[in-house]
Amino acid sequence: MKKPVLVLGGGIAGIQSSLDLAEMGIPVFLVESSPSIGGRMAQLDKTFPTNDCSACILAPKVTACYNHPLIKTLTWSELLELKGDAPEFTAVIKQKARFIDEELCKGCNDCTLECPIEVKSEFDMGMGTRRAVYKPFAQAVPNKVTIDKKGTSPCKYRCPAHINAHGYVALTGQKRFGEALSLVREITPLAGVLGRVCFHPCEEKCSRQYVDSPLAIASIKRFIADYEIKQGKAPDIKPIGEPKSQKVAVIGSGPAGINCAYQLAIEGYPVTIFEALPVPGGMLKVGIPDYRLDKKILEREIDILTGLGVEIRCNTPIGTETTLDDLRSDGYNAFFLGIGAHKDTKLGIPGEEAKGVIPGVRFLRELNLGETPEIGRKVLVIGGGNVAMDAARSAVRLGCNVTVVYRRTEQEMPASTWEIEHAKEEGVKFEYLTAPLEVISDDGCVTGLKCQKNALGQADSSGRRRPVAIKGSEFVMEADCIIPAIGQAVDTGMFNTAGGICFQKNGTIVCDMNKMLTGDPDVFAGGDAVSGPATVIEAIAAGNKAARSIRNYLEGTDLSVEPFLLHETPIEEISFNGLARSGRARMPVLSKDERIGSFDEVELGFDEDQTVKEALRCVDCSICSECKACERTCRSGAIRHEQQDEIIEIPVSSVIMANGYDTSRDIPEDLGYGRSKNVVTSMEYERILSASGPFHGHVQRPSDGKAPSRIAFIQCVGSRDTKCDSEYCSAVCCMYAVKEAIITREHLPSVKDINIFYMDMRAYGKDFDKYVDSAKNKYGIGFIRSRVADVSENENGKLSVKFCDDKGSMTADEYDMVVLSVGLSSKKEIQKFFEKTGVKTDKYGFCWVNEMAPPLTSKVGLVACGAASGPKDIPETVVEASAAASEASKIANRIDVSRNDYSSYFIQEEQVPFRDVSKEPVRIGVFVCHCGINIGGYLSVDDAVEYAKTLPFVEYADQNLYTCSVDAQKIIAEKIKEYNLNRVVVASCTPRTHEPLFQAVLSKAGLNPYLFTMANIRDQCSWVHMDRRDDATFKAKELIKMAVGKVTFARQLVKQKIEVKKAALVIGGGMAGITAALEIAGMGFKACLVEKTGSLGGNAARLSTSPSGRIYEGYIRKYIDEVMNNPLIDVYLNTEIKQIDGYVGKYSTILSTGEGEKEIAHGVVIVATGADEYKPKEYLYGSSSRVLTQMELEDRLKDGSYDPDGVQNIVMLQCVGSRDSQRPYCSRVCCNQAIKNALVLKEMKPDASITILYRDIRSYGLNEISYNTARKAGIQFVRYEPECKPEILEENGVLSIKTYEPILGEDIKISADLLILSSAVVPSAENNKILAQMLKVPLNQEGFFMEAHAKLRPVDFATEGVYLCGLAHAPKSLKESITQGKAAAARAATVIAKDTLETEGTIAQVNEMLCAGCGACEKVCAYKAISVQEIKKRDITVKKAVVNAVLCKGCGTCSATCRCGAVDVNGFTDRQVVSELEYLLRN
Amino acid sequence: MKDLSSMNMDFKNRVAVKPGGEKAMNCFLCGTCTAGCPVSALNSEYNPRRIMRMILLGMEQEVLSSPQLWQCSQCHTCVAHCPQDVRFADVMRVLRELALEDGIVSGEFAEEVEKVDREIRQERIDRINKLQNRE
Repeated sequence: MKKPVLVLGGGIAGIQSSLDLAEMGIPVFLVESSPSIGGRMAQLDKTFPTNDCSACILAPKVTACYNHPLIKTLTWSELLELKGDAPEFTAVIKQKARFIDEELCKGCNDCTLECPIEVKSEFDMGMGTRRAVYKPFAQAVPNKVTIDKKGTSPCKYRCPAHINAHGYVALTGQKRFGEALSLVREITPLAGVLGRVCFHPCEEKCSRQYVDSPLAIASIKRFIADYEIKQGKAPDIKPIGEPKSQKVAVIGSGPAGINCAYQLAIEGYPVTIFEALPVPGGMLKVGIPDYRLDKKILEREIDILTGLGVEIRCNTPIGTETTLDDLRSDGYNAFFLGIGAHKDTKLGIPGEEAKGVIPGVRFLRELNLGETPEIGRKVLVIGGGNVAMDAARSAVRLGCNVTVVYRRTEQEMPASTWEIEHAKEEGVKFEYLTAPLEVISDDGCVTGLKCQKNALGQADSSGRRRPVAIKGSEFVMEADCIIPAIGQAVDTGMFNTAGGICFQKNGTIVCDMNKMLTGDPDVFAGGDAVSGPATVIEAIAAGNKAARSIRNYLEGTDLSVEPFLLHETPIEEISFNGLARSGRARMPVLSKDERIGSFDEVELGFDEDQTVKEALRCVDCSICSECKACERTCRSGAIRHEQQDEIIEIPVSSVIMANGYDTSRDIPEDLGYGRSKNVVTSMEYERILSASGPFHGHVQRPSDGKAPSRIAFIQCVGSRDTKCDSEYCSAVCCMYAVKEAIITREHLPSVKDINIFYMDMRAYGKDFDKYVDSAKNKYGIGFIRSRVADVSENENGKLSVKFCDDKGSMTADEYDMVVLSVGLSSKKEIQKFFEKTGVKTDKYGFCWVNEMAPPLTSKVGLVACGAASGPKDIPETVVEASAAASEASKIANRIDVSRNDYSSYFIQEEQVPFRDVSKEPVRIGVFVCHCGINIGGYLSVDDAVEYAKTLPFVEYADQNLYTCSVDAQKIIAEKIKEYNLNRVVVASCTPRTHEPLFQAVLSKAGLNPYLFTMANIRDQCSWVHMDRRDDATFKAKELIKMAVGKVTFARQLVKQKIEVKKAALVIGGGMAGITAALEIAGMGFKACLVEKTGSLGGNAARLSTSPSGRIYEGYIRKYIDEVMNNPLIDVYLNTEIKQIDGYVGKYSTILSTGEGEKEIAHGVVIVATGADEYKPKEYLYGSSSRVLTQMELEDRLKDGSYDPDGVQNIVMLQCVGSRDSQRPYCSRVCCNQAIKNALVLKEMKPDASITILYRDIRSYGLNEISYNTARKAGIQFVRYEPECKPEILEENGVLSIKTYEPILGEDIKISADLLILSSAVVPSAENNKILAQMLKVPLNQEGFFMEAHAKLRPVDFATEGVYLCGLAHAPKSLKESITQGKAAAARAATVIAKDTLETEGTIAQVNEMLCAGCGACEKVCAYKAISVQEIKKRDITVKKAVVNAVLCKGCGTCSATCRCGAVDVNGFTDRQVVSELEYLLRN
Repeated sequence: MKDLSSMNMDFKNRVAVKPGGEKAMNCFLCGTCTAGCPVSALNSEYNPRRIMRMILLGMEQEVLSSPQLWQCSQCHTCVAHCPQDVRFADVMRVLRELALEDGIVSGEFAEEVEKVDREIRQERIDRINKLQNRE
């Protein structure tokens, strides 16, 4: 096995590189940071200039790439580091946690439907939404979901018990109250209790506070707990663990004990709770008054414990009478001490023992146990904490006159603010800065309290100011009862005798806080008894932690008690976009009057609407709330919330950077983006146009969904703009805007005006100008040459666009929608990698590429393609991707590695032998596709399936959401086996893209792939009858019926194998051809380079400097020398091609050299025949010595014959011979060449006046920088209109040019000592025609060779084995020609790297019995694949037609021509076609 | 027909050496300055792009003697919009200096213009105060 290559980026560039390499037999790791491959191209609606559906042309490549056995696709992965040097790189890759098991996920979307979190979809550019668990788009490859987690939400993270607040809030927002409650109950049974009494630290951390105010999280919890009661449902909680034998004793039934018991009981342990008091609940029961917590709620939640089998023994104190040892001998294996802090703290003042002094804790306990403490009328409560408030408010309810005595001020009070407020409302009086000195009593009964006033002094260790007594301020307050509430302590008495357990000085239990373990190995503790008086939620947390430790202890395991796998979501990761302010819900409360004299709950709880509304305020900090709805839904058990990122290291031989681009982030504010919804970016607009987008392809305004009547496109947004730090041109925007305009017109014929505001229309690619012309003339798109200054929304919702037309005045025009053609920026996330790896970038962050050896970067073994090295369109990206593959292949081919080292990534697929079905009865399986909504949305798939089941020989019929998905493919294979099918019909889209895919499925399932037929019920049915559902369904049935009729007579066809001649013929010795030959040789194959002239180098040899000013001479010489000296390359100069015979893999060509003819054998052909400069007939060319072409200027610059002296005024005239009726194309190179040469001339003679007369300056991409430089150097640019071309005047031997200056609005005259014509690039039409005929490949109207597909097969021909590069394809720069030469070599290598090729099965076949040998077929065959030959039959020589299996393309022309019916095309036999028709006509 | 040979091809350099005029040659004549100009909005004769065109073509006399030169209100909106950092408002300032330098306008005239600007600003302040006092 060759050493693998790493391709970074799964867009079209990465996919193309990977496929090329894999087809050459080189393994590839394709690393993509997003969850799916396809890149930007998958997001586009259509592509220019052919208007193909982007996703449709891309999809087959994506699938082929993902399914290729030599390509290991690592999505959701990042390349962290590249260690070492080529070819011994080690790639360090982070495989980000997807939180699913990729093997198990079927991509069924069930989980996404259940997920409560909705966020903006990145794929839809924020125009649509997706869930936290999601597939970026329906056809995503791989077809797997990903869970989007940004960390642990702050609310959950802050909760001491880590109750999943985010989760239950999210579910509540969806009215899924039961699920929400279950989530709380994973942590604690006390949902209703906590909803009422928790001090909710979660809310302190709630991120909503940065928008307005935090969510009322606790009250939401209360609602979901109460909702269950209202619904009359009993809590349904059962142990999940197996029943265990080890018994656990929990001492104390407070919140800590309850939770410890709860968690252990759920695990299956038998638990007994021992409670000293007569009732369970601890402080919850005896410490909290009823008006804060209705005890029925508590009892109900304690009942959950008993429901789990926990035994609660009340009135059973442990310690003195019954000891832990007693329990040990009773068989208890572990203990939890949750004994709380029930002992009151003494005031420490005289008279404290008097009757009528009742400690707060005791007062509340008695009250809660149903006793009526005798407290009289006048009650003084001493203290400022929550117990003091509880005591005071309870006393008020008993009809007392209550005053709270506190030694500091209200500000320092530790009680909650709302509690103080409530107390005040209920009539509690407060005496601040008052310290008790002595209890005054009469006859042992309290009569008053002697106090002293305080002032506040310095702050103490708690940060609060220390009260300082004011001398002489003593006074007496009358009182019937004094309730001190100044603190609680643990009642240590019970255990002090037990031994083992130690107590701190303050009375709390000594405990290892990590394990909640005391000095005894079997005794654990938690709650107030350990921490000192604290909160309910902290007690719960401690109980849970102890339960986990107890489990570890009993099981002898050491599981972590830490609950978090993910860090707290940092605030910068949280999205606050588009949140409107909304107030926090207000808790309804009992009126003041209703509260006095009643212990009814004060807070009444939210109603349902309030709760849901409140829940929906959630910001979804961490995106996924970990509510685990997905986990509960997933039928294949694929969800893995505990998954972690993984780092892997892979040795690779080289790296291809195909990391793509970001859309420009710098959008000038004045253009209204972000302020008006109807100003959208072009990428957003692509999604609007896309049938799979948020509006299903309906053009509508985002603000109101109405169809726009006037749309403006604004060009150069974030491009050609120094303010945005994107001085460069983004290279693609002009064309995509024109495309979007055209598509808009097609989608929405009612649209009145579509205008494109532009500066220079940069339609510099092949057939681009024609496309722009058709936009103007056929689609009525308006083009306004102006850069827009400002877009603002009027009161009527229209967008006012301010621009300046050619006439010069400022104009404001109203539009319904504005599309900003945003530019392309370098990928931000890759910059760190570039820096770390030492890869040179330009100042914009694009990867620097060697101009003379693209796509090599500054680092050996690292190549760049596509937008990684600058903005460019798809064809150029694909060309570069192939070129990168060629470079990578040269390295990989040199190194062999053991397959075992990579065995987990590359599995050798076994060839399944085909089952012979010729003797079997026909058994057909029909698979009908929904194609998302493409089919299913417009016709009844159910009906079609039911109908298919009724057709003859159909054994099985069913439907799939996407039959092409990897998953559905598996289903087909399974059904073939299960039902023993021997014919398959797929009713879906077009066989053009998808037939090979399904045929491969048959092959893998052991069926001959030709036992298959497709019914196209999408392109030919649902798409064309979108508004006629019934008719479309009928037609789909008919199409399926025909397919069944056809497949019934399908036969098992055999492919032939032919041996490949591992050599290439390269025609043309210019730089494209030289490069191609060198690459072929570099990859280890033979090349034959044929050049008709006597020297190599072509046009490049004439150029003096590169666009960036480098002198070419040395470089080109070096390349020529390399070719001449390479032992694998035979160079033939002064040689022409006389004849080419054969076909892919096996060509035989006759060359006519100066010394006679020579025959060579080769497997592939690369056409690199170049083009010439147009010899102008206009502008005095040839008649005036002062008129030159750019190439002639280059000649003079190169040979030094150019003399700058005496040449003061120079004029360059653009578009000579280009963009006119005769040659309606842009010659692409001239603008940049003119700018380059102008700068050279300016440098030679700085005071020379140089003027460039142009129509549009097409300094596309990074060439824009040279245009900027030229202007700064003082070179003048004057635009002319094609309607009034410049005129040359020659007066007395002096040249001058008259031209109309559109901004001045008048003619100007420029004198010219030298006029340089930027003359067109023209193909050598006659030569091309001859070669095209020999190779059976097409030319376009202009005489350039025509590639197989403008976008995705830019260097291929439709004829296999023939490839194209350089100017023979279209005008292009030298750098682009070199790249294309490499690309053609790579494509050629995908053939000659193989030892054998397979022919197609669907080719013509002659029935000799019927053949009359008339030769009619031979005459019509375009491929010369059928010919009449003499055959000996029983001593008689007869003439019969014979088919060349390799040449035959299966087009069927011969079959249609044959009058005897002797020629049939396999796979389309007469029998099959007739059967199709019979089925159609049959009912 | 304007004959460029009679123009001062060095004019743009003359502008570029003055503080504020350095970036004049960056201009690619897109017209954003004009499209956003509040003076252009009221006075269609006033056309910053055209002035830039004339500077770049060396039409020194015409530019410096143009009455449009004094129409600019120096609000710098053009500077905010310009994608090539030409700083047209500053270029205008330079042109005014050059017009003075060449004696095309008198110092008194320039001062008068200054005065008009000052008075208009004062007028604005006064009228707004009045409006607010009325409410």
